[in-house]
This record gives sequence, C-alpha cells and structure tokens, in this order.
Amino acid sequence: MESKPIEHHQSAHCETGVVHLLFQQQGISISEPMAFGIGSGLFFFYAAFIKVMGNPLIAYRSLPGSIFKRNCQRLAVRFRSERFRDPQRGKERLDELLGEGRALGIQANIYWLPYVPAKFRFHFNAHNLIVAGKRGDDYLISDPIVEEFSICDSRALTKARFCKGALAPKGLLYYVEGRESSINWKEAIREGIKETVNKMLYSPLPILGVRAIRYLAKDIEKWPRKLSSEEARNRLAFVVRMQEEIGTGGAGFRYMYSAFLDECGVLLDRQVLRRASVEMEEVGDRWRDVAVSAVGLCKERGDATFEKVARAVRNISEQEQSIYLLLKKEYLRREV
Amino acid sequence: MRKEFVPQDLDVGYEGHKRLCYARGGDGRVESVASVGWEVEREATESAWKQIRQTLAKTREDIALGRLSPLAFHMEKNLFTPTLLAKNLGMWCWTVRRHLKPKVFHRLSESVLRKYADYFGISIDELRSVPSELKDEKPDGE
Repeated sequence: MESKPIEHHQSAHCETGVVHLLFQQQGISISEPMAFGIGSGLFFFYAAFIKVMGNPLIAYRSLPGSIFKRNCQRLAVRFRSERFRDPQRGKERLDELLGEGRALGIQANIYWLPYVPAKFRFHFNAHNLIVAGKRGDDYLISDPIVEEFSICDSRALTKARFCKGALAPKGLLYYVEGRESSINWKEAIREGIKETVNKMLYSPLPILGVRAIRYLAKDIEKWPRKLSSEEARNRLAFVVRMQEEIGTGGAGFRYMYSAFLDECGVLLDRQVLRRASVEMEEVGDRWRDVAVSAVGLCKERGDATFEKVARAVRNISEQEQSIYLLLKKEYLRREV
Repeated sequence: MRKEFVPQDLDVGYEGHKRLCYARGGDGRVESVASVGWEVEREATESAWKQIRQTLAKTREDIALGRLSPLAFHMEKNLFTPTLLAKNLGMWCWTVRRHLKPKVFHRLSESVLRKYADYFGISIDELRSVPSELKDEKPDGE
C-alpha cells in the first residue's frame, strides 16, 4: 500500500469524518461537508410506530453506511467491506489488515467506547470510526468526532464491534482499495444533490423526506392529548437530542448541508447554490428555534406550547421543500 | 447561523472536549467552528439521564423490597432492556426475564452469573449486590 498514515482531524459527524480521513489518505482532498453532500447524507426520517427504547425512530440523515458507499461510487473509489459472525475471527482479521499497514473504517456501538464522554454513551450501534494501528493490546483510534487520536483496549473494541440489536455492526470493517486517477467533481456533486432532492421531495411513504417532517408536526400536536404530560415532554426532548447531540454538527445536519452548498457554489461558480446555502442556513436556524422552544416547554419556561412547536416544524417542512424545488429547477435542470 | 453566535456554553459533560459545527463567517463563507457546548442541548441530554436515574431509583427500591433481583439494577445501569441483553448474551429473552426474579436469581449457577458479570465488566459479588447510591445517580441531581 502506498497510502500515507492517517492524519487526524476533528469533524462534526462520524461517517462524513471517516470519508474525509480515509479519502485524504488516498490523496483525495474532500472536506467533511463535501463528503456529506456527495454522499447524499441529508435526509429526514420519522416513524412513530417503530419504537427504540420507548422512543419513536427519528433521523435527520440517511442510513448509516450509505454516505461512505455513495462517496466511493461517485468519486470512483474502490472499497471492500467485511462483516463477521464470529467476534474472534473479526478481531484477527482486523489485526491482519492493520498489519498490512491499512487504516480501517469500522462500525461500533458507542456505549462501549471508553474514550467517549460518559454522558454521550447510549446504545447506538452505528457509530463510525477509524482504527489506525495497534500497540500491544491497545488500538489507536481516529474517531472523527474527537479532537485527537484516542486509545481503546481490544476487549472494549471487540465488544463494541459485535454488539447486537438494531443496526448491529456485525464487526463491519471497510477500507479503500484503490482509486481512478481522475475525478469528475461536477458530476459527483450533481448526483449527490439529485438524490437528496428526489428523496426529500418524492417519497412514496409519509415517513420519509419532507412529508415526514409534516408527519412529525402532526404527531407533536397529538402528544399532549395522547400521552401524559411527562411522556410528551420526554418525547419532545428526545427529538431535540436526535437533532442537536454531538455528531450532527447542530440543527440536524442542516448547517453542514449549507456548508456543502456554499462550497459547491464557489467551486462550480453557481450563484443558485450559494443562494440555496443561505436558505438552508436559515432552515438550520429554524430547527434550532424549535430546539429552544421545545426544551423551554420541557422545562416549563417561556410561552411555547405543543401547537406552537408543531407549527414551527410544519413551517420548516415548507421552507425545506422550497429549497429542494429551487435546486431542482434552477440547478439540476439547467446543468448539462 | 453566524460564526459569532455559535453557542459557547461550557458543558462539563463534554469532559473537556469540543464539538465541531458549521457557521457562516464574516466573508460569507460557511466554515467549521468548535463549540464547548450549548445549554439547550445540555438540557435535552440531561432530561434523558434524569429519566434513566428515575427508573434506576425505582429499581433500587424494588430490589430492596425483594421484588426484583440485583441483575435488574446492573442491566438498567448499562441501559439494557431484557430483550437487548438476551440478544447480546445469546440467551432467550424469557430466560433473562426469569433471572430478574430474586428467587430464581439466587439459585443461579456460577457459570450463568459469570456470563452476566463478564459482560458488564464486574465481579460476581458485585453482580449479586447493588452498590450504594452514587452522587450522580440522584433523580434530581444535575
């Protein structure tokens, strides 16, 4: 392998950070927002009927793993991924690949990672990070959401890689095998935006895309009637946590997408993308307003009500919809 | 969000770390900015832990009254439900549920107890007992 050793940089989100670091090692300089946009990471998913530990499933981003895959497809990077049934075998293979001098992306449960601040350790199975090397029984970890390299002992890492449950990692490891010499950035960006626009606007189900944002608004209105006041508040706080807690870059990834559109606008010299970036930034601000009033409601301060929060969420769905339509009409259709 | 408005409300829960977010700088470009925390986010996370502490306090009571086995405490402390724990240990869900009964738990063999204890990273004696209340476990402690 002719690749350079990993240089660690902090990112806002784990998977986009992994793409940034692994690609950089291959000599492809791609920023985190760029990886997020080209990988069509922006999304909205809300399914009230699927409960995870009593809370409805909600996501502001696409399925874990898809961002890396899309980036590889669109930037002509060859990668391999492996999963294992047997933890011992998974550990041996990890050590073997590390021995060849590779840096590996892995999926792990965040609860068992000792270097993560205690407060953020929940059972979330789809955290992505890079294993950069091994010293004795300790692995050298480049976790994109942390500022520096971290250390994790092999027992904890194996446990984290083979945790069961929703989105179980099954020891997933992936690495870049090679790349084409030329990259068509313009086309990759276009593909990335196209997928996001289509997924957000034309969902066949009300649990995906902008329709899901409306679905969420409708549900928030119902909570005070359907649930006890404590449950309703806890649920609202949960929505805020999914949106703001470490790893989203704030405002449920909307700011990161705004950064992506801004970067593309400059790179391709397209004013429409920069305009969309400003509007997406505003949507991010509105999501944050929702967080402020939702938490105010939970803590019984301010004058927020469930109806007001729901209305704000509904307005966001309209605003987001208009951005995707703008991108479709003024960018996708006009691009040759 | 403008770069100068990125919240910097020191959150001790970050344990000295910073997080990255994106904001627009003076030149009109969006760039990454490090933040030491945001009060609103801290409160949302705190409400989740408060909920967990409340259930844990209730479980503690139930164990003291002989309604549940100490396993219930260790399970909930590690944020597991019986289903999730069973999956991870390769047991049946109903087996784990049965082990939550004090009567059954106290008759369990060393090897079964070892399985639980190893997974939680504690000794068998620790598994058999419930530690005295920690400061950060109080339901209303922030």
